[in-house]
Amino acid sequence: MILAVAGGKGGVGKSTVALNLAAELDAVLVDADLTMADLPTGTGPDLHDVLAGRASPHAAVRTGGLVDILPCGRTLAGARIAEPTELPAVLEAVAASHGDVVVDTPAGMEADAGLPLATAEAAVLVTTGDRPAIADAVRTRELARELDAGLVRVVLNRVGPDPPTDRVRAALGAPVVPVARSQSVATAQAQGLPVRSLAPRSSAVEQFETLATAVYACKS
Amino acid sequence: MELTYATDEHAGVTLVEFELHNPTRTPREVTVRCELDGPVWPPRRGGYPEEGWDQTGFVGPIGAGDRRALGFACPAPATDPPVSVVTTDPIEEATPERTPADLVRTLGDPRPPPVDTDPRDDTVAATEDSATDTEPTEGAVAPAEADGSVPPAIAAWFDLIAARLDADDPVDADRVCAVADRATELHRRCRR
Repeated sequence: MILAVAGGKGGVGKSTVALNLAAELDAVLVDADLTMADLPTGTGPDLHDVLAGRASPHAAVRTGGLVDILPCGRTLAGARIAEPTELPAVLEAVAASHGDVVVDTPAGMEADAGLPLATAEAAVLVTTGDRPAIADAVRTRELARELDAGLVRVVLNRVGPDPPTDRVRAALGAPVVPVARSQSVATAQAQGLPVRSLAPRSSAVEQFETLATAVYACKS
Repeated sequence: MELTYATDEHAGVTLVEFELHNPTRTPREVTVRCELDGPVWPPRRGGYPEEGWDQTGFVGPIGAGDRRALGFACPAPATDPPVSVVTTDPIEEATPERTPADLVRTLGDPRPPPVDTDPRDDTVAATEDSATDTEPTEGAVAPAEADGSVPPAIAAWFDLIAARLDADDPVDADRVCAVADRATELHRRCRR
């Protein structure tokens, strides 16, 4: 299964949710943000190289860590040579060889956001509770609907004690999983790790488990 | 298949407009060939040629009784006719599948703009070449010309500026004086 983790606005925690969800689902994480990659790259070929036809998708997947990752390069030159129309074929090739794929989808409404949604069977939408983020999430939900990516859950990220769950559910029309603001999530993310590796008993892990269960249910 | 056309030449480039009319009761896939002695410059959206176009012409569906207006450019003198209908095969009515290129056309290309934006270049060909031939180098800003010269478009712009500097235009001189006065005034205010 190919799952897009999307959200209209930047900085709402898409990459964090994508990394933790990939860890829970034992899926390959693909960083599809062709111009502003956010996940650790390490050395070796990356998604830019794969989309430019310089490397096979299989060769670019970093294995051996807690989560298998197909990272994206961070150079302008790399972004220029990466052919965006190849992305669907690359995602399908990774799914064929590695199983489940979680795609960290860029913010915005350009083709780099649309292509993962058009390829994915399902999508998880990430937003924070503030108005601009929810407004952008509504636009991304429309795009996902247009491109036939079923919306599994909305992640209401970095919430405080009284999350606006009902308001977000009403605005986006899908079940909401709140994920609390958490220092351990942020610390783990800064090291490119899922929170489970640093704080396996934290409530954040439970929340990502809930999300993964919902995604898993949708898969079967 | 009925074909009507018109051509218009500008600076060595011919713009060709044509309309296809399918008067039959069957949807048809029509192949149109460019008769001009040059490559087809197809219509583009988001940098990608519209569906159905290649270097030689156009292939696409036209519904029963429908008309379709199309156009392209070609760096060659006009001919009469500029295009000809090669085949008109009957097809089943079907909605065409949405391709990744369709999405890029609709939503916009996410890539940073190319370094060399000379409109005479064929964008797709340039992209394909750079994808196979160019090494992505960290921090590369402009393509290094082999002889250290600047690209032709920028050289032409420099020449224009140089010519204007030499021309001693009184309007320019007045403007420069006005800017100098303004700068002096601002400098005086800062020192107060």
